[in-house]
Amino acid sequence: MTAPAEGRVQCCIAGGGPAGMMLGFLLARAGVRTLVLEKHGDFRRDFRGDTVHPSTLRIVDELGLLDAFLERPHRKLEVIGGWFGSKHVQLGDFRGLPKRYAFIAMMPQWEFLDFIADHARELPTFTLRMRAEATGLVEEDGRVVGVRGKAEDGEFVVRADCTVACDGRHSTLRAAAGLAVEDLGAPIDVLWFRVARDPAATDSSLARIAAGHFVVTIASRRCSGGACGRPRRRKQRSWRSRTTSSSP
Amino acid sequence: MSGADAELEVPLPMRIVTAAPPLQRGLARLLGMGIRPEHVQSPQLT
Repeated sequence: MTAPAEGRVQCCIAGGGPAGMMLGFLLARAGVRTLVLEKHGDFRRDFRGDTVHPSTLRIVDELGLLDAFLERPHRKLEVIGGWFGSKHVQLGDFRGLPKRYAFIAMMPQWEFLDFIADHARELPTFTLRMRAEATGLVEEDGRVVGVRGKAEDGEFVVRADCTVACDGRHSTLRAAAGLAVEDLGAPIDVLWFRVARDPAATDSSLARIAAGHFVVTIASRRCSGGACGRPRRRKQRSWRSRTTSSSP
Repeated sequence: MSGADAELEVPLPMRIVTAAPPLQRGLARLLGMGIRPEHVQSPQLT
């Protein structure tokens, strides 16, 4: 058995999601030698947070990257409204904000992550290691001093002055550190699926609320059909009926 | 008429906001920018 490969950085971030990638980019930009570990081979996973809010757009603008960012595929959501039964409601209007970020950018999360990764990789202090999963912590004298992980070429150890767990809601490192989670509960179940959109449709309503259930519709640039995460066959008719009743 | 078919009544706060564009802009600012917007304060060193 060979010993795990070892490396050393100033900051090691486990998880290349929005939090991990943005933190890694900002630290590396400020001169901190940073390593981000991402267990997947790319960022292309669907049904994630696809909204980039004005506050984030302003930060991207402060980084001098907003024009390049908005060259990525996106839709602009300037008003937030929906249907409450048969009645239309309008609850938010972003057009009163400064013009450069007076909207929510509806953008697939992988576009956001690819964008941050592309710009971060230009920094000599930034390293993104894909297909590398943090599996545990390295501790010495009661302090966390790095992470253990596994990659295609075997196990590794990264020693770091600062270790950050951005590895999601089921964080491996949080559990390894013994940090307790306060479970607030979730009173609803969410089912994500994709349906074809009429290219001529102009309705960008975000919510359709009916008795006992509601549908949030996020208009994507892609108009491909088919549903992902299909419900079980015996429940499909009920699910389809309830969905179309609130979002025909 | 079943519960699912019953006509929903729009809650009063939603009716008020729908009728008041300034409130829509205020809500959008709160949702879009938050209470204490973050900024990039560290200089680029690399």
